[in-house]
Amino acid sequence: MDAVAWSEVARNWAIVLGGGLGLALAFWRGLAASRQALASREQARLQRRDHATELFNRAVEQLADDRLEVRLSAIYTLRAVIVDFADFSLPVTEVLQAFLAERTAERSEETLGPDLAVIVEILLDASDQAATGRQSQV
Amino acid sequence: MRRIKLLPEDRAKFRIKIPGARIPGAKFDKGNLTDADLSFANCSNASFRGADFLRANLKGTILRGADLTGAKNLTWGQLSKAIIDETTILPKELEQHAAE
Repeated sequence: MDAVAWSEVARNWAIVLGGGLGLALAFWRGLAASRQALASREQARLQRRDHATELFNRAVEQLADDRLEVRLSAIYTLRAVIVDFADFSLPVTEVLQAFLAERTAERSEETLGPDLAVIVEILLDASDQAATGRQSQV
Repeated sequence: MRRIKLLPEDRAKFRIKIPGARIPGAKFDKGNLTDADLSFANCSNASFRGADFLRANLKGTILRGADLTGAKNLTWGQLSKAIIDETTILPKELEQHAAE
């Protein structure tokens, strides 16, 4: 084989090696980007969760407020939390049920306030879902 | 309005438990009250039209003036533990029991 042929072989190998290196680099960068995206998504999820926890705590405190509008706002906030975060549903419904059972016992009104009516609606929605879920498991 | 979500494992655990609540005039129409605990709750003038009372605990529940028209899975055994009067609107199948 003459020098020209050798140089062509060397050039071809260099192209193959260069291409392989480029592919490896691209793969590595893609992997790093994918990990970064996953980490960002997880961080965003944790931030949303922290926010939901904060909303939950604040809304529970506001349930006992004397003003109807504050209580209503708290109840709708709790509802919004459990629309987006199913794992809050049981604690939220337990809080609402405890509120209904404990805080209404001393009431003297003969009609249901709008705040209590909304709580009943939320409980019925949860109960309906629970029943549907139990039926689908059978 | 978007519906709330329950985790699959929570669906088996969830029951309405409001013993002793004072909720006159509440609307439970077509509600699912399976295994619910409404014991000693004041549900006078409440509406339970078409509600499902399967295994619901109605011990001491005040149902004066309540509307139970079309209630499902409601037995006389459950109703006899509740407090009803002539203003309570009973499902057709239980009216006879009440008359006796």
